[in-house]
Amino acid sequence: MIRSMFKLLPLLLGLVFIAGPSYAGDRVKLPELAPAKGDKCVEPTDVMRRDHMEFILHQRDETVYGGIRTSKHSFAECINCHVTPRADGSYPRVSEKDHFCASCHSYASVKVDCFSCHADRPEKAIKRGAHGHSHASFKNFDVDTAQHRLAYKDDGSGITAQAEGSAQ
Amino acid sequence: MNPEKMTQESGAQEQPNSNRRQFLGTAAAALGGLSIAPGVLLYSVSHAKPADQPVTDAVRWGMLVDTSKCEDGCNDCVTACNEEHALTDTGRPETDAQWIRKLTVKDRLSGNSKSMPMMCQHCEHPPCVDVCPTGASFKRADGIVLVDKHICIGCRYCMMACPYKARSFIHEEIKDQKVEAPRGKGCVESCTLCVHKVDRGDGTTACAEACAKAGHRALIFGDLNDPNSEISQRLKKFGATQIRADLGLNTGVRYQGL
Repeated sequence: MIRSMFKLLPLLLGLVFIAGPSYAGDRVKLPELAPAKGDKCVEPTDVMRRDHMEFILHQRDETVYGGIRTSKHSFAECINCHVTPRADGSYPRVSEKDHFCASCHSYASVKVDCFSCHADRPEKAIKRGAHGHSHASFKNFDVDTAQHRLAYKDDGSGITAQAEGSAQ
Repeated sequence: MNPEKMTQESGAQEQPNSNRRQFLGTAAAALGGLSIAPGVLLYSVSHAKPADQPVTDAVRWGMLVDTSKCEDGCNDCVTACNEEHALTDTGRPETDAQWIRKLTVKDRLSGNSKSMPMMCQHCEHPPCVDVCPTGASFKRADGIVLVDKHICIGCRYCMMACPYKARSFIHEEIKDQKVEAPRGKGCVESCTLCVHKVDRGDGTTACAEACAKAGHRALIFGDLNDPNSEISQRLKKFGATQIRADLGLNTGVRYQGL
């Protein structure tokens, strides 16, 4: 009996092995990553999967403090290559699951905070309205030459009052 | 004690890092060429730094505002800045970000009025950097004062400390930022002296470009450490005023004709 069980063992193991992939079908589907431009990334895929945040963080400080804007580990270049237009020409936003970053981050349930400030699409994909508005730009100042300092003109409207045009 | 020595010592106490300050003061205000012989400079200044090298203090970026050329009613510098950095209008101008704004200053006695832009003055001794509790507010080696928004907690101490009212706080979520001008809710921001353009080697800023395009050329951007730059030459020849010079901040933005 025991001998026959030993004979069955490879079969049992095989059954477990075969059952494995079918079991995976019930789990959360692996993310389908959007196609990227170019043949390969700046680092091997397995390195990027684990350490992309380290590269971006390192380059972040180099850029902010040193003005080093080389493209290899630049955040903007990540977006340029990895956020590509859909078939209809529209670009996915990070709030949508087919965005490169969002697809994996929603799968891994890791929140990214990059895009509250940074653009989630290449510059060419961002449509902006005209900036022809009259921005709060004119304010009434008086220079008191005796005091040699700038002072807001006291027109009763307070510091944040808009004086557009009235300065003219 | 030797009185002269005492004066020197007390001077050094009042003014930390006085050697550097004197050096930069000389370079920025008097702009004497640091030359060992005519045409032979002790240092060479390259405006286009190698892309993979960090900025150094060999350059100090600054701006000269010629108020006699700044036209009353012209707003092109402000518009250009807003476009360059995608500063949008929320419809609530009290809280809209202003990186640069136009002022009209008037002498009460004579009634003489002048128009000029006001923005971050890129001080050598920036009060915003002094007060920042997290180290987010900082001065780059080349003199550009910036906010590291990754570290900024939005406390707005710097806004209180700045004598020029140069900084803005972002109260609302922002969409459609420029790739080169990341901005977001909860951070303080101000004029970056178009740092992305400087790093690219453009050698100018959006406001100065727009001013030149309008034919005024009231804004001259350049290297204060380079005695041959236009800004240095003009400062040497005509001099200029620092706004609130009494604060001793050694501003990188200077005004002529005030």
